[in-house]
Amino acid sequence: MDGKPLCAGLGGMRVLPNVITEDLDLAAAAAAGPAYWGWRPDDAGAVGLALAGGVSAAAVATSITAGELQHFGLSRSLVVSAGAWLAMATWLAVGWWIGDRVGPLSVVVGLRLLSLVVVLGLWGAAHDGQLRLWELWPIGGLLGFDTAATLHTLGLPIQPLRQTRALLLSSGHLGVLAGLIALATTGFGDMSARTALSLYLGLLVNVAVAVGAARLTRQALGAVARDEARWKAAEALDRANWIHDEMCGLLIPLRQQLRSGAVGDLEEVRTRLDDIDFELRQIQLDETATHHQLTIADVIQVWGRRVQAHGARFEAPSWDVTRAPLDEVARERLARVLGVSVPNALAAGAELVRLGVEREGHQMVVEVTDDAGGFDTNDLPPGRGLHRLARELGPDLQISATHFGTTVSCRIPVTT
Amino acid sequence: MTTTLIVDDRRFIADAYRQLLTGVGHDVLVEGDPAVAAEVAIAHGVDLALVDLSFPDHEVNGLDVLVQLHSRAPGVPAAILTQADAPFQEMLRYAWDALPLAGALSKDLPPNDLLAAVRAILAGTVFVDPLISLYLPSARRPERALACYDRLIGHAGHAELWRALATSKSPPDYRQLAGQLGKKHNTIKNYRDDLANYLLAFGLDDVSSLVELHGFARDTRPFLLHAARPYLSNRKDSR
Repeated sequence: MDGKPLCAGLGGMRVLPNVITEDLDLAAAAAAGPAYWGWRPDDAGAVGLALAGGVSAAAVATSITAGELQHFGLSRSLVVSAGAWLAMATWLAVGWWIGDRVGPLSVVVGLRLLSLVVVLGLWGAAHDGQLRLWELWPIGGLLGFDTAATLHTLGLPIQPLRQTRALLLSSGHLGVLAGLIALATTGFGDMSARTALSLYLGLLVNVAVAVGAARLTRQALGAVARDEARWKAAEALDRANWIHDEMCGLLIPLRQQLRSGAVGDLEEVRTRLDDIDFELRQIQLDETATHHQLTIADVIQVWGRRVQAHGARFEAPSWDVTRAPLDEVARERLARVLGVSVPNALAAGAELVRLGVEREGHQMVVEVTDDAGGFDTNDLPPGRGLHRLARELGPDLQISATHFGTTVSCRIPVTT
Repeated sequence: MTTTLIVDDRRFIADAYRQLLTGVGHDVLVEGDPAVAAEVAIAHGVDLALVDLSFPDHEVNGLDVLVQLHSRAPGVPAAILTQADAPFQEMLRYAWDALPLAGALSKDLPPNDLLAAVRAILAGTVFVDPLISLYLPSARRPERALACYDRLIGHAGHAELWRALATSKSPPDYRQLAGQLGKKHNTIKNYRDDLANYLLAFGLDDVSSLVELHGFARDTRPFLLHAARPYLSNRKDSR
């Protein structure tokens, strides 16, 4: 290729002084596209890391002068390749981290990393700063994978042919074509018709490779999605069977006892059904927790139903307070405190169980108050639930007598 | 005699409530189809409607019944009867904010408590079961009242967009929406941008997310379609 050096960047093509375009294009290729598709509001750390890795690779690749290289006995292509591998390692780590969250995109990460390495390597190998026509294909791959991943991340459909048609008919493309024709025919500058043709063909090669890359990406995403669907179907079947087994485990003994006359009266049946309902609520809670973050309300409601089933009145705060999400540790501690204090209150004959929840900084204060008459809070019976709970939680648990009953108060650290 | 309508497709549960209320002298009607429940309530001049939210085998749900009762028989006290399971909690809050409901009761409420709640509602007291109050704000949010849904529909295009979102079983993408509505991709995005500020008032975090818009539209479908009705019927008439 003759004439001015060719620099094909993410934004298209430019004929500019060699050093500026080389630096800008390499930095842009290394950093801009990947950072764009990886961006998410809660992934700022990943974006920062990726940007740092990409830009540092570009800086290493472009800032060292030929003289400095010779001083260290290194060739430019070697340094650029090292920079490219640094960028690849950074992106691999980021891709792994993000891939865990977004699934199919991790396939694209590997493919686009390969393109990035080849782009940088070829660029470094071009000692005079010029690229040959055949060397443009990795840029097309880079653009293609970037485009595909970006569209996928934004939730837009990947449609290579439709998007190619849109590009070819765009004012940008037609403007480039018209400009090149004008340059070649008017002889402006020193660009020959052959250079203009090469530039244009280079653009088309970019587009062609980008289309192929996008198609491959779409197929890869589709294959991963199909695998995911199969896995989910198998998991749903397992869960359905498990829940059925759990329910049978609760209901069959009751049926057997009813048949054999081992269950005394209807009140006993009602109690057993309440217990089964309670067990099923716990299962529902555990299942919900596997895919969703539970709130204070979710944990409290199981015990509220228990209180009402016993014929006692239940009072609880509104959703303004109970909407707060719980981490796993806080959830377990809340369930533990309720699991001891509520049954204690009911067993003591409480007609009212009142739950209070307040947030104090990084702690949640839960209070369970009953009207069961109270007991000597300084003399907890050893081995009983409340005694064990007090030993377990230490100063975080306070038990106090009220005028009508007892208040169990517990501080629970929360991270959410 | 008090005539009470129970709208629930679970026959065992509805029958249990019928038995309980009949025992204290109510004349009880049970309707398992939410599409006709409001008609039944109006035709029989009921004094109270207890309405379940979830009707998985029907295209409409309890919210449709409540909106119709509110529009056509505003004097009939209507209360929600629900298990408040996770998929319906958001729907429950939207209903509570949008409509002047007479109460919200858990299906687990013991018989005596349920009867006390029904007496309170018939006496004009708003009754919220403490189990349900766990999932309801302490005060209704006026920015989510039924009339506020009118702001989400400025013209027929908005109405069609909400109808498409609310009736789609899974979140569509912009291409599918554009194809379904016969509009350009960017037109759909412009609609979304038109409504962004109003949607924030409804508590949506990310109004650019079609998944979130779809979830909102599914949860509030009866309210949106109620607000969209003038635009959609005009469009139909003009054809």
